[in-house]
Amino acid sequence: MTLFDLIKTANHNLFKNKLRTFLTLLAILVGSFAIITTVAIQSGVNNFLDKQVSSFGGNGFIEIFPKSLGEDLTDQTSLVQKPKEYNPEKSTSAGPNKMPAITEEQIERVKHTPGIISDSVMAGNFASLTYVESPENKKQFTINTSIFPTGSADFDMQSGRIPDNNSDSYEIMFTSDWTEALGFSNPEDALGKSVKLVYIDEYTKKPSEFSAKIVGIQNPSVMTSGSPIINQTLNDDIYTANLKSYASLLPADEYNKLKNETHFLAATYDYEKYSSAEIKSSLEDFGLTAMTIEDIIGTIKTFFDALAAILNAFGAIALLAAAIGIINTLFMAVQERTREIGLEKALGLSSFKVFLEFSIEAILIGFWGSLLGIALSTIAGNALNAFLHQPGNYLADFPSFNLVEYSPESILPIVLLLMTISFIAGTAPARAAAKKDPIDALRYE
Amino acid sequence: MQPIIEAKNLSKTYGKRQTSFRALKDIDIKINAGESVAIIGKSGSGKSTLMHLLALLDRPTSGNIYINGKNTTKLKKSELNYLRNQEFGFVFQQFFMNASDTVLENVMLPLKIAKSSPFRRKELALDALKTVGLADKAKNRATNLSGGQKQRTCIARAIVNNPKIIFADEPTGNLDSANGEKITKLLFGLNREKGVTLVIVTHDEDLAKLCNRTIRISDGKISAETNKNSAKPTRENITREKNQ
Repeated sequence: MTLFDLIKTANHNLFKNKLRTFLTLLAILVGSFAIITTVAIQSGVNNFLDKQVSSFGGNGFIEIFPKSLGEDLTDQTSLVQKPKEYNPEKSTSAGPNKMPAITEEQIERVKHTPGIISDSVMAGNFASLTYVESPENKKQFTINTSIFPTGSADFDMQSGRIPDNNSDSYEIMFTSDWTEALGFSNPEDALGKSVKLVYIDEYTKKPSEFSAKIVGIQNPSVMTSGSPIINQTLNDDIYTANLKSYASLLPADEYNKLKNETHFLAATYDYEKYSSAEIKSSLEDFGLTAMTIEDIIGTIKTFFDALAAILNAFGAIALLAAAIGIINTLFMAVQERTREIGLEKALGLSSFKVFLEFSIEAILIGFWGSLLGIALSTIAGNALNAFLHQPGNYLADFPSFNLVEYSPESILPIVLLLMTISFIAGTAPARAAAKKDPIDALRYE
Repeated sequence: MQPIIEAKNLSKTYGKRQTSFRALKDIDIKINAGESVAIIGKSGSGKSTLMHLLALLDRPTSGNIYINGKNTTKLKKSELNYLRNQEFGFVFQQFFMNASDTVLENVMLPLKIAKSSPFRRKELALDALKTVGLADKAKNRATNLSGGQKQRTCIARAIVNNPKIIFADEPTGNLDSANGEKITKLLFGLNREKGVTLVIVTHDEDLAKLCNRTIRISDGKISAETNKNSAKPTRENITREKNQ
């Protein structure tokens, strides 16, 4: 018999007993479904995270803060706050934001830290706004803006461009979920329109207004957590407005110091040569702490890795049970077809070909089972994606994020793996079939 | 003339030591090409064992079997498989057909094992079915055939590879007399017209009488051997014997 004949015969024999074959396939199906779905989720999540990371100019993006900010946060979130001795050196600034500042000396040291690309270091300060008002529906929303160094970010844009830090005019970029809230019918509609940004001083109650042009709309991003991005010029002017009431209260030199304060640094580091931990420990030496892409991605990854591990374990158990099912099914088939085997051997079929006939049958169970698993997983996965993207569901804000993603490169190895497992399970029954003596087999009733 | 099958000092022992059983004891047989030979004996006499050895389905404990003068004892398993596939045809009492397959598929089995091309398989199998008068049943499922039709299909399967020798183990054992006669005619027709050597194992004396030669086995030994005068039975011969 040729290999083609063997495969044809095995497939034909497989579907002779439809119910039994179907039940065996079902066991394989459960296992393959679990594993394929896991791989699809991992690939979906990884693709999403890759997109998010690349929107931050790769893995090397780093944000640097004074260490005391991190300590303050830890203190505030700890259950029992211990009394802390006053230290004028460490105290936070007197500004409206009461933020600890980074000194000039620290900035210089950051620039000379091995691994940090010194040209990329950008100083920023926390500018705060009271609300933003839409030009369309006049609705007002609270707003937290952020700034990004030019070139460090390659955002996942829906339309328009990133605010230009070198421009003298005020520019702003929103995430797509803002367009509707601001009363625009679509992202293109929002481009070129101006929104009113307002800061109201806490003491004088005097408003400062800024008219910022919408230059771009980006897809939602976990990194910016939905906050609109403005350019450097606008940020500086808002910060100055924030400090307005201090101008008359503070001595001139104190006021100027406050005005030129730096609250955070954004930079890029050589992530191929330096780990995020190495950079962080160097910065720690001179009182700074940092957050890298790895830190943000890490938490998301840990969650999905744990989910994948659970699903994979479930899949492995299902596959083990399925393998036993295959052994059982094939032993029954060998028993049933004893006379057929005897006849084939009497007519000159070699033992090895008989072994192959049953082995191929086992492999085919793996093959069909995994195909069914893939089909079912694809249907379920696409339904899940569609469901999660429905308004109000988890991924409604991330149209570009598919929780499950299928690719031939990820599916093919699984099909091969299942075929291998099935083959191994089939070896014992196949050997039993190959060992049958034609005379005994023909006599068998 | 060189015998097509020759067995020398053939012995077969089953089991070991105390529990051993000698099924065949030093048997010598010569079968010439074109002969029809009946191996007759009661059940347990060793006739089936002898046929299995001659058909190379089993190996003797001692002694040698020569096919066309070639000693088969030293042949490898794959060579024996090839020999059976190419030179032998088998007809069994219980038919041994794959019930869920079609008649044609059953007949094609030896050719499938021989790796013939699908086209040639079909052609030869249809020819063989024509010979046994079942060409119109080619597409039928094997289960739907009557006993006689099943055995005719098996004969078609036995001749599809154009064998030199057909081994038939109680070919009429499961059939009524009318169908049995049809099968007998078919087998002896092949013997007469195509010169196929027939080796028939039976306990049916009437069937045995139709053969050129009868080898009687009892207790693992040849107890009697009868030769007919005429080398080949004629049609009149068969009917006369049947009518007696």
